[in-house]
Amino acid sequence: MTELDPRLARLQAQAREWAAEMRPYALEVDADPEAVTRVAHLPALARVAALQIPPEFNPEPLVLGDQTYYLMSASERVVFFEEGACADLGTMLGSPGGPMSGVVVDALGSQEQKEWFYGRLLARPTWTFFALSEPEHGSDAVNMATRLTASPDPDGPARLNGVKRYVGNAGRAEFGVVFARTGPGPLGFAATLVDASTPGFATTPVRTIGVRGAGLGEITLNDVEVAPDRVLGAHLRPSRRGMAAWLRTFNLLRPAVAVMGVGVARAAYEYVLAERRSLRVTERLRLERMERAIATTRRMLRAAAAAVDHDPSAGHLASAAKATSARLAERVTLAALDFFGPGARLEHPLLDKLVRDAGSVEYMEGTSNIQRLGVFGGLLRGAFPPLQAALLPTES
Amino acid sequence: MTRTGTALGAAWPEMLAVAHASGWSAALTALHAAAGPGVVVLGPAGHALVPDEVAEDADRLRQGEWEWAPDDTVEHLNTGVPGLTALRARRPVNAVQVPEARSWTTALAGLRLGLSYRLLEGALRYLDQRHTGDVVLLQHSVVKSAVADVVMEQLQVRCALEGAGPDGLDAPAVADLHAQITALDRAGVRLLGAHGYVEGGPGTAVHVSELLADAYRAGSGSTPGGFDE
Repeated sequence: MTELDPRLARLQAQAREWAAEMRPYALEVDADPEAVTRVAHLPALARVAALQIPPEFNPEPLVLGDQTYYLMSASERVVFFEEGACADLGTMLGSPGGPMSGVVVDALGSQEQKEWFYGRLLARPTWTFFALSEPEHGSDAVNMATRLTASPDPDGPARLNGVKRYVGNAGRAEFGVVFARTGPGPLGFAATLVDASTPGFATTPVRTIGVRGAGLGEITLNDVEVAPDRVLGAHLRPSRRGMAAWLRTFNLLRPAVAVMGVGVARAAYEYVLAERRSLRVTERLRLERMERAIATTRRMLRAAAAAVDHDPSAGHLASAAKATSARLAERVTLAALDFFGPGARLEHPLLDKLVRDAGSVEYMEGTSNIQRLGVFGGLLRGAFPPLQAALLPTES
Repeated sequence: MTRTGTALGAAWPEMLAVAHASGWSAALTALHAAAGPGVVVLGPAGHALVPDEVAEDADRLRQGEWEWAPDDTVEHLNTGVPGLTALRARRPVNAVQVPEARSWTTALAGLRLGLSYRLLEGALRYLDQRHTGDVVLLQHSVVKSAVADVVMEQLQVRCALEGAGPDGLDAPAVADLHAQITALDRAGVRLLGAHGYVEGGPGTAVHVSELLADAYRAGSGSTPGGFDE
């Protein structure tokens, strides 16, 4: 396994300990997604729900020895979330807190908006949503159909209309971020804070083949009122809250999504190790190849995390890591089946679940084809110089 | 060596056609019926995947060249797929020897390829209706490339099947073929984005196709270019 510096290694150890407590519930959550709410007291969920909050708003960060962690950097998140995804991706995605919406609020929110958002998260374990994808346009923000229409009264509420789909925790979230267009052009975008209890806000579950604990759903917005102070970045110049700002935010999120593929792949690999104690030579070689592929991808995405922590606009490596990780999860989980003979998916429900869960990585935060476009664009901009130094020089 | 029994190696075109036209349920019904009326064919570890009605109407279970009547020892396993029943049974001592339904996995490959064609056609319709930026998704070069990859893989599978005689392909060849179908279907379902991951949607047929490959041990679950050198 790729070596970590002592600070991140300590975080990894804590995450692993907490994550292990989630695993026994994995199949229960798969069968009944609402079981997530019954395990929300576990530290892996409850404690994490109060992290990913910037230092100025979080009086209770995670303290391990002489180190303090807020889980605000991509580098911390990839270490932490690999453990969660390895224990159970469905439960992890169904965790309370603001893992995605909180990043947007941090990037675009005013002081008052951050106090409102993070304050609610800290009050008690609370779920949030991140409503970007749409039924007809996926995560193609440029072509979003959801509209935020300003009120004729400058102090009156704007109104949201549209449909969002594949929104995690849609049915259990109390509030979150909804993305919408306000008009044409590169500045015609808005991210808004929306309370799920607002009239005109409705959700419908979307049952998925895997990661059922994520509780994906569709959100219908029918004249949902948005007060002027709930439009994120209203205090910023339009150029600083528009599409470019969103893309930087998504770059920050992408490594943490990508690492979920590594976590699921590792879970399948470890399942083989645990359940097949005696291996033939060819099987052992195959397992070693799987381990090497996992380690290589992990290294790539840790480099991607370091890159966006250094420069949030440097998302090209994160795109490559995301597509690679999605493929890794599929390959390793499918290959793991080979170790258990015919009917492995029926006889090994946890492994079957891992195969199903692995598919989800492809669809989160942009499909591999979208990531390929990002990689291709990065290539044209010279973002992958053949003679560059090591991607991750801090690791041995 | 002279082999006896019903050779299903030549049945793959029919299975392909039914799967393509009508989907997995009708095709699975046809495939089991090809082994004999009322017969449900089990995989090497005693598993079967059949439409609910076929499970209800089964009066014989067959594993290789052994056949017996279903009884209380047959377990029903949850597949999570509406309409699809999984059975698990052990061959009893009083099973009788019958002519084997040979080349089952070759015919199954035809069925899976039919589902694969069906998936791709659906994906093309889907991609032709969606945009990214101002461009129809299907016209994006990266999507064209991905579609072309699937088409070429399907052609390879088809060519391999057409080289099979009445006895079907040998075990290693059919194993590779099923792994290839799994890989190309994964590539195909990726074209659909998250739409392909929703229960009851086009991804469900891919899921069923993979379950079939698993239960009938019709090849490794891993994909070509995977972890075997």
